[in-house]
Amino acid sequence: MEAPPTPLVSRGLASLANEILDNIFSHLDTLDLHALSLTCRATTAAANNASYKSFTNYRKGSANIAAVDRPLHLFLRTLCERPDLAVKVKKMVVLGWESEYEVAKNLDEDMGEQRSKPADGAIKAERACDGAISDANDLQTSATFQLFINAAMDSQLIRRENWTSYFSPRQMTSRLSEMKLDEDLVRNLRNKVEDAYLVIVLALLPNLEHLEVRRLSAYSIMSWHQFLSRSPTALRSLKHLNMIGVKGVQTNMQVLDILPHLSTLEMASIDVRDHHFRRKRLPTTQLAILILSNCVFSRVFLEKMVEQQRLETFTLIGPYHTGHILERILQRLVLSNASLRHLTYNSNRYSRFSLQKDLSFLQFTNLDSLEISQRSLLGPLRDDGDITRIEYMLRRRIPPTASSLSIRRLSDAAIRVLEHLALLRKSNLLPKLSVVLMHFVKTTELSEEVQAGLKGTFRDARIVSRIQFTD
Amino acid sequence: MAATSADAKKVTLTTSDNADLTVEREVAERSILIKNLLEDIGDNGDAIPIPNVNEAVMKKVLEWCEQHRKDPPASQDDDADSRKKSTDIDEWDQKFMQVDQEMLFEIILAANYLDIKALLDVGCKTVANMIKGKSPDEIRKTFNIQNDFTPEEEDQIRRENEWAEDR
Repeated sequence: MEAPPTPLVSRGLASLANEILDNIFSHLDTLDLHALSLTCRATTAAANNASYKSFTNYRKGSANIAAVDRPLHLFLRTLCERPDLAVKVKKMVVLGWESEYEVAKNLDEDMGEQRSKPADGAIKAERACDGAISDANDLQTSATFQLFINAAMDSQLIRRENWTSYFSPRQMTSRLSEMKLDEDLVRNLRNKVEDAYLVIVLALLPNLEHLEVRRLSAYSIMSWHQFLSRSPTALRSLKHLNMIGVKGVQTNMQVLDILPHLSTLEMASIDVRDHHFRRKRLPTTQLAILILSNCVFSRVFLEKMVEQQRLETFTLIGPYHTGHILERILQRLVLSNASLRHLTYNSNRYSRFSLQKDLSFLQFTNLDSLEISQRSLLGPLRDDGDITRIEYMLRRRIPPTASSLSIRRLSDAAIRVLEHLALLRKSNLLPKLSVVLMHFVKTTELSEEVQAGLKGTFRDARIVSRIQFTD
Repeated sequence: MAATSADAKKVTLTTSDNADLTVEREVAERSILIKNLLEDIGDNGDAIPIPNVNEAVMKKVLEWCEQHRKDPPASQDDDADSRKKSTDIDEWDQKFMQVDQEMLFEIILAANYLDIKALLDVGCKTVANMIKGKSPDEIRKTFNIQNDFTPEEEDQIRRENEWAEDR
């Protein structure tokens, strides 16, 4: 403050070493980085280093799908022209799908002028200036189209052909089938369908490690597997895949067959249909985290996911699974016996099924946390609490390594589970257990008798909240 | 750590402008560079030359080290994503960083050279906060930077990064 401003800042922002600029820029968001890229030559490279690490097609905080404000086609255009920037991209988050009109609205296929897709982000952006398409814009559009087609051919997604003059009538496509033909990709590119842009974007990012797709379209999409399996690099570095559908999304998830380094797979609200089992297991041998919530799939699909893997986290949540699936899968997890640390199985469907007596989680020698429904853990309970059964099941099913236990969908009759857990803890059969979460179906009050019994064992004797065991 | 039993052992640092600064070893060892030097050459009582940092800056850096002498070492699982965008700086550090820009950059360079990661991060966050929300022109004014782009270059960058524009 006291020093007079020096006319020449010899050691200013622009003269910092790149590693320091990288540190500074790592604290800034895309908009600030955009400004820095336009500040001076010295800041451009570091700004690009930071901003091309990840791409998200919507801005932080915008929950509304209408707020998709980073058009995929603009990003794709840069990737086509600047492979040196494309190799920097490690993470991509897509909140998707503004342009599924072709199928969704069953529009007639014509390349022509009367196509007016009112909400198409791409078109909106290009028409934004004056609402009319000028000749210049037409030229621009066709140049961009050519650029994208070339990228698709260079990445070997489609065969080399003169697609620019190509015109195809739309095949009648069932709402539920994927589009697999070269013509489909070309037509959808011409129609500015984001699904098609995304396929090429993925082909141009050889170092992509993390891909999140939220609100996967409920309508037919381009087959990622069909096109991207032809590229030698597309998605081959992917470690983390997170796909979240909206209700009713059906997809075959065949793309899993081309991910040799996948270590985390998270799927939510996806209905897996028509998956081919030419490959019996995933190409990755590194799958550590598998989280499937509210998805529909066959037992064979799940077996393929876990086959030969050493899982650390396995989560199966949803109304659609029966205990039988878990039982079969547990048998398949032999390789995971020592690696599995977090197991969640929460089927909220009421079923008559209860686990077989000889089933337990004791096979997992390093299990740290277990989350499970009462029915899966204890089987059905009689109203009187079934004390011997509770004790027997707890001892048979909870590994002594567990430090955290969460039991869901507890009936009133299960109130005595707590007491037994306390006893098991005190008698050193569950020596590590420190956090117990009890989720009752109905609000449950502890009787005074029970409370007295628990006194000294629990820090907090309220139910449905975190209960800490203390020594 | 034998620091407590050594009962406030002192080390002397010689700055680029030949000033000798004597501080407790524990304080100086916030610098990984100095810590490693002391381990390598042994503490034979000789002054340690710090040829890249002058007295004024070194005093400032040592002031920070003194304040943070008992900080636990940074956790290794500090993943880049959680660090990103968090430009929260604790109150003492904020006050500490209220210096003119030249000193701010000198501190950053010294922290980088001396390998004091936490101080480097505080400095970088401070600069990041000065950039936040500004236009290219405002950034140039703030940091006294010349626009060295040709109009063609500027157009090219604008086009490439059009996807990131505010809209």
